[in-house]
Amino acid sequence: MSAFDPYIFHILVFSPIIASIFLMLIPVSDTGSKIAISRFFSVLILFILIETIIAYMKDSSILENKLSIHLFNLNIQVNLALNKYNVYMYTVTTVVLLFNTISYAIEDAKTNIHHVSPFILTFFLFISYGQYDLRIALPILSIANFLLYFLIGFNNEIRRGSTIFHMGIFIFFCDALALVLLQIPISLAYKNIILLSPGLTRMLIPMFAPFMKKFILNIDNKEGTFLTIFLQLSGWFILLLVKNSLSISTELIETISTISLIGAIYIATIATTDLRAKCFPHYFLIFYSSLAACILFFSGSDFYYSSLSLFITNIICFFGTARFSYDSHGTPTLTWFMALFLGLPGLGIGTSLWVLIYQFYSLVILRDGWTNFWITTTIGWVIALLLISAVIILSTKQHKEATEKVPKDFALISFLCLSLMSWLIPVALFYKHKGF
Amino acid sequence: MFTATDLSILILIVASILVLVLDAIGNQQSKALLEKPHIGLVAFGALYIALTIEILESLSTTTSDQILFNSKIGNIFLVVNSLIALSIMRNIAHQKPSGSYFLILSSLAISMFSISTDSLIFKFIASTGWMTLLTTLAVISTPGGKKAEIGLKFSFSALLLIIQFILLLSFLYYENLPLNISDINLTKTAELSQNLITIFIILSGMSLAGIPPFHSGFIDCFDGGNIGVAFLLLSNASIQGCSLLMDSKNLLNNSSLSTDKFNTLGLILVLGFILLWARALDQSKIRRTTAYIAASISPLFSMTLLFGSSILLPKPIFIIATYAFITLSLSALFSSLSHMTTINQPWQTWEELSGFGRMNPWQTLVFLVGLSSIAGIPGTFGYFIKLSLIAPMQENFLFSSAIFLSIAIGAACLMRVFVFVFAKHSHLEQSINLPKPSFWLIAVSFILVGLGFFPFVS
Repeated sequence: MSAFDPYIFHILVFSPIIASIFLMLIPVSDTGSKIAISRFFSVLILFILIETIIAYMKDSSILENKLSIHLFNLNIQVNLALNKYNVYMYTVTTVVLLFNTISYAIEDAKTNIHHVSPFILTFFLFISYGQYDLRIALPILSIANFLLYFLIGFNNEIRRGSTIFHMGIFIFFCDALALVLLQIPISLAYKNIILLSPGLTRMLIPMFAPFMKKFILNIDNKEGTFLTIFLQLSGWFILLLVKNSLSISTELIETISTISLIGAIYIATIATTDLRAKCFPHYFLIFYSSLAACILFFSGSDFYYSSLSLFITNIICFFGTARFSYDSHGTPTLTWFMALFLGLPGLGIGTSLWVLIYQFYSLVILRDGWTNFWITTTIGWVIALLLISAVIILSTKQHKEATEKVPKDFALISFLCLSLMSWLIPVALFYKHKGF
Repeated sequence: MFTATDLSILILIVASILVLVLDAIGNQQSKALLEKPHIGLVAFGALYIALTIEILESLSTTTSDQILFNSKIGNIFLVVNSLIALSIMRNIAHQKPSGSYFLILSSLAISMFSISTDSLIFKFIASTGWMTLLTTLAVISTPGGKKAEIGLKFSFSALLLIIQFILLLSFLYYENLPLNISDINLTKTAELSQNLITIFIILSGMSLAGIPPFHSGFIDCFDGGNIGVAFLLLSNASIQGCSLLMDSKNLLNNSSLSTDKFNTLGLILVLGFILLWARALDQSKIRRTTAYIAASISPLFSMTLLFGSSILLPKPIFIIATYAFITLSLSALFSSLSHMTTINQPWQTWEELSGFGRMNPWQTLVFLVGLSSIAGIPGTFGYFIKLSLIAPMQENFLFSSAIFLSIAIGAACLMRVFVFVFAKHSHLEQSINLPKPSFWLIAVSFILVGLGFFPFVS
């Protein structure tokens, strides 16, 4: 054990805030320096993460830290823990931050807040990932949303005001309701679903996020990707915390499956009428997030890892696709990137999806048989996937005019990187746990 | 026995007389002397001495009596609030009337006496006296035509307070009961008398704290009056009113009335609280909306001290946290508004605030943090204060629903302001760039958010 190991986790958690302080010290107009510093820090955070993971693999007990404040007889503690659940969340957040700082060059000097927001949002995520209790993590994620509203409010989209108004009220409503219910030991019929609502809302699952369409249309093309991923990651983590604290019943699994299926069909339906290239990656993202959220609640750790694998692959594919759909506006490169989402075996999301299908068949169908519920659910998901894929294949062919050409070599390398990463994610997840 | 609080009160009374004399002399002198830095020095000096004495006294003595501890902490925060009010008033250069230092110091001495004394007669005299002095200050510091309205509404509130106290004292006299709160035992009196005595002491507390339906004077004072005076009125009225409500709790404990009466008190407070939030939602003017939101802190503060609890925090720390909440939230809200010189006039609407946050992000940040904290948005200090009410009152579903509703309405109010300040563009041709708020004000807003990260409530 190196001398650094006991502190490495603290360093990881607080490094984004240190990066923010450095970025704030640079004048707003000096975008070149800001880009350099943000790239430097995101690489540094990645190295710290690697060191943290190595320390965790050597001795997992050292990564349970308590931040304590002693004042008179008062002892306030904030626990931060690295465990098998959140280590993947830390990894994906760090990778997304790195991708974001490398791929997004700040072209104009808006405000300092725009420059530091990815780091501050990462810090909020890091702090909340370290928590076991939703009552502590949710307020932190809730207040972090203000940064999102600020960034959306500052862009030039027409309906930005109503977007943040509806989104803000709805998310605060869900958060407050869940937190109030956690204080009252009563058994309400839909208490579990209410507790899940902050997570489902953030994952933009349509039945819980009526603002979803407005949000997709009114986020800035360049900053929007990171904001959407922030919402997805925070939503997923909330679901995970709730899942770990609930006793999962068959009724709950069926309710969540139905909710997510309705959401997926809704997404596929609106995709048929909405042919904007900006929206395609979001529709796929929400579609697969719904599926991952549904699978998360299936009993057994195998489903946890396959759900996580699907979710992370989805996030990574979304990141690349969204960036290229914004830049290329429907050129053939967009079609390549969209192929990552189609669920083809061995390509993009298909690397995780087919594992999931195999597990579903071997662990659910072979055990319970093809009940009416599972037949209906499976058919529903297949129809939704076929519909959304068909619509997007047909409509990307119609978008021929590129406003901003992406260099072909660069696009090809990015595509290959994403394809490789979508292979690495399930391999890394299933290597140790042998989920199938 | 001469206590440290008596010494503080004496210092404040002497200082108030001294500033009155200096003020009178200053009015006869040249214009340069009218700046009166020496008067400010005496006033601030007296306040700092009083604060030091109170803090030292609180640290040196330990008490298990909750009422006594409350009054000690209350005294400290009364002085702190007066200091903040004076700082806010110094920002508003054109609204610094002659005699304001005297009125602030003397009203502070009276309010400290009011919450320290056990005698109901003295409480009656001190409360009405405090209200009269602060009404005078509110009226003389109001620049426009709202003077009459504020004076009239506060006179009406003071009249109601006097009537309620007289009725309370009459019933106590009729039942041959002592007039010291700690000596009153209602168990042997008739149930009707018990009910009437407790009702009138609760009503007195509510009118002193400005809890609905006795809130109109406070709203008008903030809407049209001096922001510093409004801060002083609201914060110190809440502390004094809550002290009377704590006395009513004591009386209820020493009576044969059922504990349901206590829940009824909670319900009255929470209804007033919701009423203020509902009114805040339909206002178009900046000052008026903020006034309703700020006034909602008074019932919240009373409810927290009466019913709130925290498993994770020792009771004394929880009480200090509750007092700190009212001071920090109100100071963030009122101080930031006093800095927003271009949009803090009573007639200005939210439309005029469009794009303000884009030009002045720091002022807007502090203002929004103050609002969020009072609204109890998750992730702020106010959220834990609201949550501390739910667990002890969990059997009362209506109460929990009302707390949740207040957070939901608060979120709506906040998002409305947020859209105006950040999502809209300014209608003005020239951008307004105000100086950054002070370091302390920014620190206060960070404390309000930072404390929202620490779980005070299990």
